[in-house]
Amino acid sequence: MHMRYRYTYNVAMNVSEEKNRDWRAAVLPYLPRRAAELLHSVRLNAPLEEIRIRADRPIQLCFSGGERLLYAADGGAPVSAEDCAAILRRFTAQSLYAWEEELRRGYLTLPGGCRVGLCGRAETEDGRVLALTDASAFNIRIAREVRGAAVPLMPYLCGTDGRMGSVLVVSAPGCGKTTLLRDVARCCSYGLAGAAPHRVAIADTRCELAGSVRGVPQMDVGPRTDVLSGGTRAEACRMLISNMSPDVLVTDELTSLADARAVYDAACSGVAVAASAHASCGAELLHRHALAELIGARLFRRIVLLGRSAGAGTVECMFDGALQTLERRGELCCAGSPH
Amino acid sequence: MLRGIAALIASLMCAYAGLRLSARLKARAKTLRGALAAARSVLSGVKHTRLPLPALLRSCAVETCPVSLSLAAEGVEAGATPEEALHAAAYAARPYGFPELADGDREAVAAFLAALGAESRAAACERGALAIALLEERAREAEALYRQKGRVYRALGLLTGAAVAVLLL
Repeated sequence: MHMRYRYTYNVAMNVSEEKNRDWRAAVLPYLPRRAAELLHSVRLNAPLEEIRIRADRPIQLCFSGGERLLYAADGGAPVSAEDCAAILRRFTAQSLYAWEEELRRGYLTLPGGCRVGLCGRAETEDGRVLALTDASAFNIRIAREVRGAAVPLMPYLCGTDGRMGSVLVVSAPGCGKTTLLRDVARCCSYGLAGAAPHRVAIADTRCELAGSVRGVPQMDVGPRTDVLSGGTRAEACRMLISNMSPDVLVTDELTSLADARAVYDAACSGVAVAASAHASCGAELLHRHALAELIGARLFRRIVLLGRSAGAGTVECMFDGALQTLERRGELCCAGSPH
Repeated sequence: MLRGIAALIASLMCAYAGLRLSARLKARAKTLRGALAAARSVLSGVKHTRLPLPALLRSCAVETCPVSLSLAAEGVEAGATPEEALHAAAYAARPYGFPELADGDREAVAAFLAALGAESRAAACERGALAIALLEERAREAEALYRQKGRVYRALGLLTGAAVAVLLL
């Protein structure tokens, strides 16, 4: 028996068609008519995770544990290169200048939190990407708010007094790190599942955690939560700690040394940090210099490894701050005291 | 009696024609000045904010702008290009668009709108500044033309009207 959060339960309950309505409203208005009609008519048996659109290729739909290719009625590709250019203009509301920084990094975020990865031609100068032009492929990751996703985990993340400890959520891409972190922020903010109510600050550099539109969160991140969207992660963390005095700082995808240093500073300032990083096992974390330093400093109370062995959002393993295994698959559900 | 009425109508028509030509020159200069003010405001927004175009257009809806920028913003939100959206807004404001504008004026406005679709902020600012310089040139030219010819047209209209009236009487 695996411990999973509701995200995976939906698959089992086969209520995906109802749940999939949200992505249609969030994504289809940006697509050319032919592709939008094709996607609108498709019937899905599982929650959609990604829509991959490529110029002159079929549309690829990715589900939990499966995929499907969609061709136009004449057997051809539903999206042309011109359509890709039009899609990018619509994604950016005809305002490429406003998304320059994000486009340079190869992504942008739609209102509601769906993140779009981009491919095209990278214009470089001195090894630095100046701009991404001629967009030819999009990976639309469907944002899904799963309230209660973190509830079973919270007793393991909080002390007996309800104070949140620092936690690092790790997994390979697409395993539900952001969904879990968002619910951790919500639980801390409301004071749910054994956590005391905390002041929460989210450094949402990619506007994915809170799905902010012009600074206003579109997802439920709790009543005591402040969100700083955009900017660099390190700078955002410093600003939040200095200006918003949070109890818990939540941020996504630690990658650089600067990120790690900002998180370290936060944790040393008495702020609990909830962060995520890419790695498919505990050992991989130690190969990443920035994360190895944090783990070496025993910064985190818990490290949670997510996987897909029973669908996206499966808690595969939980470690303590020294990366010693605490619980393995499923055992968490049956464990007595989490402390 | 009939001759008197004909003379009056003819003189009024001549005066109207003169005034109309003068008013058209004035309207051209005013429209270009309004467009210039709005373009400067939009370009400043592009330079200094990260507002997407619809929000930027709404925030730049200056009174002197001849077109409803809020309406253009709605068009952009619906997926139209800036050119298409502004064109639609212009025709929504006035059924015949802006007939007083010369083709070169329209090209200058279109160049500014095309600049907004540039793939980087630096390119948008550079192309936008060039288009604004062109608009400024057109606006200056329109004002000079109005100063030079506006009074002439008005005087010519009135004098021609009077002359026709004298001839008919």
